[in-house]
Amino acid sequence: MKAIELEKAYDPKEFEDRIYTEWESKGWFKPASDPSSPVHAEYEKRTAGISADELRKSTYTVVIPPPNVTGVLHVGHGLNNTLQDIVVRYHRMKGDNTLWVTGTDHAGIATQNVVERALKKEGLTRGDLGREKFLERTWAVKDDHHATIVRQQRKLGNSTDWNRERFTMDEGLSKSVRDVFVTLYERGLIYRGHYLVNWCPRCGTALADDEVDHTDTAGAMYHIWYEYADGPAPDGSTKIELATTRPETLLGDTAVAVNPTDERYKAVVGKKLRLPLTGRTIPLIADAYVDKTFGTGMVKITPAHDPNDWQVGKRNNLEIINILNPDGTLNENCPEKYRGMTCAAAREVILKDLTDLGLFKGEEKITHSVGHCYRCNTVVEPYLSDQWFVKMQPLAEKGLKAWQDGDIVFYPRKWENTYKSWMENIRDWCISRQLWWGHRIPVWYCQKCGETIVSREDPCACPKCGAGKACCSRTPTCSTRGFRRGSGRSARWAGLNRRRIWSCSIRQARS
Amino acid sequence: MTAYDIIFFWVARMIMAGLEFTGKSPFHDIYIHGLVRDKQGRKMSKSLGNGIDPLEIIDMYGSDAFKFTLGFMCAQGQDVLVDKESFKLGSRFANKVWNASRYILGNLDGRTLVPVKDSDLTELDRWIYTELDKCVRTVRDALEGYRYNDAASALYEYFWNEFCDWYVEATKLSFRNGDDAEKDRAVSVLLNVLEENIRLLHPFLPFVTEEIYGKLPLKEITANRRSCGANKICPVSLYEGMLIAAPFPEPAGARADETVSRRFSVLQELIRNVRGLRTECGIDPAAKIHLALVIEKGSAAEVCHEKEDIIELLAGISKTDFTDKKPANSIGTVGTGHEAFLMIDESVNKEQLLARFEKELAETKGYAQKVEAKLSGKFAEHAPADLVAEERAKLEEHRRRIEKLEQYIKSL
Repeated sequence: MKAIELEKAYDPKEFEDRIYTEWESKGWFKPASDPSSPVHAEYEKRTAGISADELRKSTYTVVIPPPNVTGVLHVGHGLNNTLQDIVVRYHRMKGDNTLWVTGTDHAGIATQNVVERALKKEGLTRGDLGREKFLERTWAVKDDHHATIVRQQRKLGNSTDWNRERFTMDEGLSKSVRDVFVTLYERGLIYRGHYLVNWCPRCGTALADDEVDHTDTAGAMYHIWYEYADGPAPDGSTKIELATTRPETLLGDTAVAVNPTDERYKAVVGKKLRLPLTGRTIPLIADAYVDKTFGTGMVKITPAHDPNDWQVGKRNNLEIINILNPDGTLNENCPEKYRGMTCAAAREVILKDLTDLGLFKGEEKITHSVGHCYRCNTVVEPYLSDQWFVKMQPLAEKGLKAWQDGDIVFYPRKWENTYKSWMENIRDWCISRQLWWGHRIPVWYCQKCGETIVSREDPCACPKCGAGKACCSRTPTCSTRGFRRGSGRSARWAGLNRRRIWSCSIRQARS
Repeated sequence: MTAYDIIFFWVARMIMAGLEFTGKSPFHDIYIHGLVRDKQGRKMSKSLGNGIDPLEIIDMYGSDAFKFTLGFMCAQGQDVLVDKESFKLGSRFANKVWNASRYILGNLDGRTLVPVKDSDLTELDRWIYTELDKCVRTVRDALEGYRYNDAASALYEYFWNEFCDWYVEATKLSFRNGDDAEKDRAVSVLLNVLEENIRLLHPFLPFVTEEIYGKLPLKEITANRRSCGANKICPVSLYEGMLIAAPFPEPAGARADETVSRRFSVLQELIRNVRGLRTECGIDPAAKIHLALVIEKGSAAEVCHEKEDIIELLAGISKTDFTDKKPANSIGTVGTGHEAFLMIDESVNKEQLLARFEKELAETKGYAQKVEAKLSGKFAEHAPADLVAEERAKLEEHRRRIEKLEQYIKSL
C-alpha cells in the first residue's frame, strides 16, 4: 500500500472545528439509547434482555454546572468542563449509555446587576426603563453571553448533547419551579416569615452574606447619654452613658442592656430610660450578650437593625421597631422631623439635636468594618422583611441518610465531613428576593380579603372570598410589613438549586 | 463535578430536592475539584493581570493541549496552578502523538498489512503489549476514581517513553534488517498498537486522536483481525465508526507477561546507564562507540547476550564485546547483573575528558568540605533535625560523586 500522509506539522486549527462539527451534526454526543445515536442499533443488540438494574449500572450521566449568563467562560469553567469531558468520553467509549447535559443559568441578582451597571453608564436606572423594557434588555444580555458561552464550549470540545440544552428560565423549568414551590408549600415545607436580612437599599433587595463586602471604613464612636425616666439610680445618678457608631438608629431602640454579671449595674436593671428625641420610654435589661469591657458596659438595643440585637430582642421579648424604608430612608416609625432622610443625613441632624439637649458627650474617630453591597458598594442595612423560607431539617435528614446509605460518594472523601456537618446544622433557607429578573414565586395576594393564594396555575378568583382575577396581585398588600405602599415589588424565587441565596442559609455554610 | 464553593449552593440542595421529589439522589458520584490559580497560588483576577483566557490558549496551542495540561495538573483535592507557559506541556504531548503517528503511517509505503496472530509476536511486541496493558489498567482505575493526573501521567509515560522511545525505535531493526515478510509483519503490529493507543488517548486528546484515527486504514486492520480469529494479545476490536464511540481498551490477562517485563527492564536499565555515561563524557549523541559488557552468570542480565542488536541500536553502539573483566582504557557503570564499559578510543577525546572530570572533582570536593564544616559546627547541634538530615544527605551525595569521578580518572 501507499504511505498515509499526515501534515508535517501538527496544526490543531486545521481540524478541531471540522471534527467538532462532524461529531455534533452526526449525533455522536447523543446517548446510545437515543434512536438517533449512530451506535443505537449496536446498543440495542448489546442490551437486549438485560435487567433494568444492569442497565442502570451501565448508564453514566453528568449535568454541567450551568455557567451564569452574567459573563463568559474563564479558565475555571475551562477546567470544570475539561474534567467532565474527559470522564464522559471515557464512559462513552467504555460502552456506558452516556449523556452529558448542558445549559446556562439565569443567575437572578447577578445578571440583574450586570444590566443595572450598564444602564448606570447611560445615566439610567431600572426604574427609568420600567419592568418590561428592563427585562427586554436583560434578555438581550443573556442572548449575547449565551452565544459566546456555547461557542467557547464547542471550542473546548465539550461532548454535550446540544439537543437537550436548557436555560434555567426555560418554560419547562419555570413550570417545575412552580410545581416544586407549590408542592413544598402543600407539604408544609415552605412558609412565609419576618426576619432580619442583609438589605441593599440601592438594589432594593436582600443580599447573601457572600454578597456583602466588609471593608475597613473611617467612622466614629459617638458617646450619648440617656436619662432615667423613673427617678435617679440608687447612687444618685440621673443618666447613663453608652456608645454607638450609628446614633441615628436610636430611633429604633427598644432597650438598653447590661451584662447580668456586671456588679456596677445590678441595682439599675429594671429601671426605665427616656429615649431621646422620641418621647418613648425603654427598659434597662440584663442579657449575657453584652460585653462588660466594651465602653461603659451599656449597649443600646435596636432589634430591627442589628442581628445581635435581634437575638437579644427575641430572648427578652422586646418590641421590634423598623425605622427604615426599603430605599434606606427613615420611615413613618420615626418622629416626623426625620422621615425621608437618609441615614447619613439623619445622623448629622440627630447629633445636633442631642447636643442641643445636652445629651451628646462627644466622639472619637475609629476605623471599623462596614458591609457594602458587592455590586454597587452601597452600605448594607440589616433589614426586617417578609420572606419565604424552606423548612430544611426534614429535607436534610433525607440527604444525610442517602449519604449514610452509600448512595452518594464524594471524591475526594474529605468533603463528606463538610457535607455531613452542614446537613446536621442546617437552618431554614430564605428563597425569596425582590428582583425583576428571575422565576416569580407562584403566590398571589387577594386585594380584597388579604388571602394568600399559592397555586400552580394563575388563579382566576380568590378561593376564599371569590373576588375576581383582577383582585389577585403578586405584590403583597399594603398592610404587609417591610414593603412601602405602592412599591410594586414582588418576590422572586432564589430557586431550590440557585447559588445566590440569602444570609440565613449562607451563614450555615460557613459555620 | 464542580468546585468546592458550589457544594451547598447546588449539590446539597439538588440532593435534597431530588430525594424529596423523586425519592432518589440525583448524583451518585460527586467530584469536587480545586480552583485554577496562578503559579504563586494567587487567585486569577483582572487587577493582578494573571488571568488566562481559555480561547486564547486554544488559539495558541489547540484545544487538546488545553485539555491534556489541565488533566495532567489536576490532582484530587488540590488547586491547579498554571500560567500560559504551562500549556506547552499538553502541546508537546499532542505534537508527539502526531509525529509518532505520522512516522508510523509513513512507514506503510510499499508494505502490505497482514493478519497478526498472537503466535506471530516477537518478544519485543509482547513487551509493548505488557506495558500497554499496565497503562490501560492504570488509566481505567484512575478515571473510575476521578484521579485525572494519575491517568494523564500514565498515558504520557507510556506513550512517550515506552511506546515512542523504546518500542518504535526498536522496531527499526525489523525495518532495517528484516525481509519483506518481516517488514509487513512489523508494520502490521505497529499499526495495531497505534490504533489501540489512539483509542486509549482519546478522552484526554479528543481532537488529534480523532483526526489520526480517521486516517488509519481501519478497513484493512479490521479485515485482518477478522481473519486471525481468537487472539488474546493482539487487539480484536472490529469497530470502524468515529473514534469518539470506539471501544476503550480493556485489560487483558494474556498480555501481562512478567518474564518479558523483567528481561526488558534489565535492558532498559543497561541502555539508560550507557546513555547516561555518554552524556557525562560529553560524547556526541550521533557518535558510534564501542561497548564492553561484563554479565554476571545466571543473572537476569544474561538477556543482553540475546539482545545485542537492540542495545546497539538504542544506545548508539557500533560494536559490543562480552568480557569477564574491565578492559583497559574504558570507563564503566554498574547495574543489575551487569557492568558496562565505554571504550575510550579514537571516538573520544581522552585529554578533554580527563580535564573535565578533574575540574568537576575539584568542585565537588570543595562543596563537600563546606558541608562538612557546616555539619561539624554549631549547625548540627542547633538546626532543626530535618535540615541537618538534608545537609548530611547532600554530603553523602557529594562523596559518592567524588568516588565515582576518582574512579573515572583512574580508568583514564
